[in-house]
Amino acid sequence: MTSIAIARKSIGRRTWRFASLAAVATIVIIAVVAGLTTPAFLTVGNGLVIIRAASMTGIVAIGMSYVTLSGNLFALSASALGALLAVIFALVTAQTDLPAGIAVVLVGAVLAGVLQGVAVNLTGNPIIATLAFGAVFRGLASVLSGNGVLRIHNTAAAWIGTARPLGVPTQSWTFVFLAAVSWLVIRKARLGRQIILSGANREAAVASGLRVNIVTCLALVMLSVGVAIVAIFTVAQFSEARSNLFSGYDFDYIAAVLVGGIALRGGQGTPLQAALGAVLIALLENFMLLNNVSGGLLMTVVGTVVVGAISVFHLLQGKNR
Amino acid sequence: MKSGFATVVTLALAAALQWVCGSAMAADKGEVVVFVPSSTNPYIGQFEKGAREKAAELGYSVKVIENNFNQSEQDSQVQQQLASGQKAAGYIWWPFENAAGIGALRALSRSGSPVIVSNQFPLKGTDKFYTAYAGANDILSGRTAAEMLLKACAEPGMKCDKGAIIRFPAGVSAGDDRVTGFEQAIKGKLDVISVTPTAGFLEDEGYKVASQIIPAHKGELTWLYTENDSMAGAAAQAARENGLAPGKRILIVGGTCHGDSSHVVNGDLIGTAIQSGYFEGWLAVQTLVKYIKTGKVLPGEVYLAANPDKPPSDDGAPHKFNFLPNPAIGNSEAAYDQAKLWGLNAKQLCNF
Amino acid sequence: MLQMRNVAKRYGATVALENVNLDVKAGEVMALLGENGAGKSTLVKILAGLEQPDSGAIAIGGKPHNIGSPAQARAAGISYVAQELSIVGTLSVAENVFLGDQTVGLLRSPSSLARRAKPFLARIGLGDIDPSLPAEAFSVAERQLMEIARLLSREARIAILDEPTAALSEVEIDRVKTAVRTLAEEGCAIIYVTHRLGEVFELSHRVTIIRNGHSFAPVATSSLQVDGLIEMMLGRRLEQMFPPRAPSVGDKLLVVEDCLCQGLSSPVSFILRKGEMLGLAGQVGSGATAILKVLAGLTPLYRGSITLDGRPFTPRVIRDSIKMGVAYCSDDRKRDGVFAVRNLVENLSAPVIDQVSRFGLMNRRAETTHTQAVAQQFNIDINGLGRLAGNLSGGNQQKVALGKWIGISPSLLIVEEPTRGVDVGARAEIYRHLRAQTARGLAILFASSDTHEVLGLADTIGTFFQGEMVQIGSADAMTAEIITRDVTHPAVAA
Ligand SMILES: Nc1ncnc2c1ncn2[C@@H]1O[C@H](COP(=O)(O)OP(=O)(O)OP(=O)(O)O)[C@@H](O)[C@H]1O
Ligand SMILES: [Mg+2]
Repeated sequence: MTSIAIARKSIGRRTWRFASLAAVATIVIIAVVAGLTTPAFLTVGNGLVIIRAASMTGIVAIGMSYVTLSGNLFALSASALGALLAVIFALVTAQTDLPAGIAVVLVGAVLAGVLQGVAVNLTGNPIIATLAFGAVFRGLASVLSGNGVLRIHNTAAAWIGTARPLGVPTQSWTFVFLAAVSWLVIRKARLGRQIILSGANREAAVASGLRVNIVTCLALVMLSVGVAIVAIFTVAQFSEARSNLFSGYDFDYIAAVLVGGIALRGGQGTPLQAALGAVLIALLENFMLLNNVSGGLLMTVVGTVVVGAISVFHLLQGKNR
Repeated sequence: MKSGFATVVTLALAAALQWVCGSAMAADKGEVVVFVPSSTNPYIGQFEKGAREKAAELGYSVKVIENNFNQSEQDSQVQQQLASGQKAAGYIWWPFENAAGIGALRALSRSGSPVIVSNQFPLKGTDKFYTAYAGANDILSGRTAAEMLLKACAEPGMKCDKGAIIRFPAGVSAGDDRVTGFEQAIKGKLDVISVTPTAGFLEDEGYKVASQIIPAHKGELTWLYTENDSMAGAAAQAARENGLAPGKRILIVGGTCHGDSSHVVNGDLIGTAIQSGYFEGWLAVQTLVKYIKTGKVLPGEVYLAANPDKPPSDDGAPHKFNFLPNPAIGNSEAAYDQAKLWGLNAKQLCNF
Repeated sequence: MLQMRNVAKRYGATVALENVNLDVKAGEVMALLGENGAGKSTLVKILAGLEQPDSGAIAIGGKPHNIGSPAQARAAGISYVAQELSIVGTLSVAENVFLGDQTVGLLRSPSSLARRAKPFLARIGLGDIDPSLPAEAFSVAERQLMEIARLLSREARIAILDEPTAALSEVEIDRVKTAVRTLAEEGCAIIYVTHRLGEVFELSHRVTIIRNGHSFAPVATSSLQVDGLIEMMLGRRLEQMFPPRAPSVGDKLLVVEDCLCQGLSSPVSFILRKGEMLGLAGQVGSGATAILKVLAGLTPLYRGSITLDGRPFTPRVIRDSIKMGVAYCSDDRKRDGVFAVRNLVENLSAPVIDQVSRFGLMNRRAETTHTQAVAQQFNIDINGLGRLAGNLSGGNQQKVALGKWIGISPSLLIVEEPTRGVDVGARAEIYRHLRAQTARGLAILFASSDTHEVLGLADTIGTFFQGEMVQIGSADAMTAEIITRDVTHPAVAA
């Protein structure tokens, strides 16, 4: 209640700051409550565990936030693209070697981003365009893998997937690194500015001479690269890939973006918020996991948090339209 | 660009069509229509293969209708199939959501052709809507896993008391049944600290949960049951990362083999059991044809024998419930290589 | 009828209203005047239930009233036309007229809704449009008139119009005036916000001025002079509204020959020289803005030739024009003029992102320097560059929308309605800034519905009527009467 009252007053420029502050504040509150009730919760070890649990969703959510910020809502193809790239990575790495696998996957990711960008621009409807691509990606993954499990035996890949430099998993390092970079991209890079302006007001961006269509493509490319990174990590960690990887994860990615408080309309916020959103969700899940909360309740709680987050941020943004 | 996109779509559609309508030839004795979720799931891919091969052997053709893990899609596929007016020799029904699919099952049963339910154990009170059930018994799977665990615990030097279960997502009936079978078998012998559902069935989900559960209960966990080997392998990875050597400080069992036997043969898991998608599809078709030939269903259930070499005979009438065996396999290279069921070896049967 | 006492409202650190009183009698038109950002819109938004005052009291018909929401405002008999358009483009005209009206269910059949909307539309001169068409099919001016039709449909005791005529030309303004007069005669109390001082004298009975968050006691309009009014509003004398015309102009810059495009029924030709300002006058639909859109790369050229600085100029998208040094500022700032949710720095640097970045990174210092320079030229508060554009008053947003184009150092600036919603003081400033730019060789082509603006600002004037250019010639030879005649019924003159 109080937070809403405060929110109503803090308008304007502070909105996104408030949004990320809200995420941080919620994290702190949950951490304190959880720490008091669940002894295992408030330990450095568990903190690292949570970051690790958030990392895979978080990396894609960071990429997804570029799409949202650029005014294109969401790409619903991320999970399917992840499966396709995982399959490609496993195939190429098994046939040749790790660098080739990584290179091919990155090229594939860029291609997938551009193709989807073109489709989004042509149809003007990111949801439908990416939904269609999702089906194509999943289908291709299925064909390429022959619906079987693709195994790789590659020690370098296994290192990438399971190493823990300084006791912290590579996935967590990458997540934190990408979160920092993504913040720089939005705040300091030209592309970040173009993404923000395109999302803030598409017409005004076009009128100002921005190539909004290209910006859309680039946002989708960045998402695809995030997806590629997650695909590589997952295959590397378990030394296998299959076409039904990441099924149903799109909701998780979107939830992280929304819980982070990024405006659905675009043009406001930073990818860092999506990263925080992913951590927040992981935190909640961890808390409930340690307290043995049933799966149904877990989904309900996460769903409720998402709805709550959207409503609060919607209220805030309605205020400074 | 535009046409490039179109090409990709066309190719993918063409490929998809081919799966769905493939092998619709040589319909001498009739067509068996198989409803399954999607063969993007390798286990279901094996199921289809087994169904096709057994049907071909018995002189039937097969039409597989897949949905994209979506019950309403499967329901409308049933409507379309029935509306097409083509008489099927029989139906094999693997609903995506058991409870939600009852309406469609009833519609199939009214068509006059026999209906064999597979994989998803029918809900109470639906007896009239199907001819027989043929497929896995998840209670049995859980029990087999528990028995393996108890045996490993009995080894000298092993201490087993508290442990945790990582299970399939809430609402997956196979997950409920396996936990039930497992808990029944360990009752009074082992303690369950927690039963935690994952959000999926694969390594990444298993790892995500195990990597959070294990450190929280590090001092007390002595065993883990994960409902399948994919998640068990990932749990072994998480255990090792937390300084618990699998097989020594913690015993891990999944109880359903899959293609990657490395975690079994290196001793990470205490063993596994053959849960064959191929034979599940195979058995569904065999049961259907047995009924077509005899026109009879014997009441009660039958656990088919786990004969290493000889599959069950095609003759005679099926029972109402025909369960696939779940033979256990020890965790050595040799045990794995020698394991066989119905003439096929573990490598072939666990290839998903 | 209506009394507001000691009303105060602040937005974070910004004090919009400090202590404002307002009294309006039934049957009276009260003009509410003040500079951009004085707080006029804030005050009327409080009445409309869109904002809550921090303190102060409101009484209607002598009884204290609490207006907590737009619905309560409507229940109290208050209806409101906002400064920014609130027409929903995808809804039909009729649905827009009855938007938010609980007594008319939107479930009614489209035809009966259209029939009910007709008389209100007719009263405001939109009698011949089809009310079942989607509103987005109509121009900004027509949509503005739809808003007034909505107000008429509400049968209010108190009617508020926030700059209803900013986007309109003479003939349409006359319709608004008639509608307002009729409302007043019917006993409605009217609050009328405007920057067009002509209207103040023609329409209003009394004037309330807001300056620096305080209101002055209302003054009878009949006791006022234009100069005195401006001085009260600005707190200083306005030396001159329009800067002197260009003493001389340079070489040919833009040559438009025999050009036909969407919106024109016969081809136009004209020449624009460096340092020259060419003003095009015409009502909505007259074709005055048609060629502007071609030059901006928004609509295609059907026929004819255009050269810029001797080279053929055929932009296909806005980007092409920008690259050629042609800047275009549309008349719909909310739609494509400002990034409401971003700050002024980002707004002002939007067209020059490439210049203020290096190696793919924004160069903050260059950006700040650039935006401060632009802000200074257009009298935008440099210390407020961190504010969101959407939080600025309407007139200040217009300065941002226009000012950002100076930043690209264009050779040709194309503007539709250069001072829409801008107060007299700031308008004089914008005129001065634009003139200063032409003195450096910039050529400006603008279209305006404000006859006085065209006459006062332009060096050369073209008049349009029904898709044809009536005449084009030196401003010295023009008078307000000629322009008004040309854009209304030139045939009489012929
Ligand atoms: N939502 C808001 N957040 C912060 N400041 C605001 C907000 N809305 C208005 N303001 C500020 O309040 C002041 C008064 O604005 P208002 O819109 O009432 O001016 P106005 O008199 O209507 O001006 P104009 O003639 O330009 O329309 C301005 O300084 C404006 O920037
Ligand atoms: Mg205003």
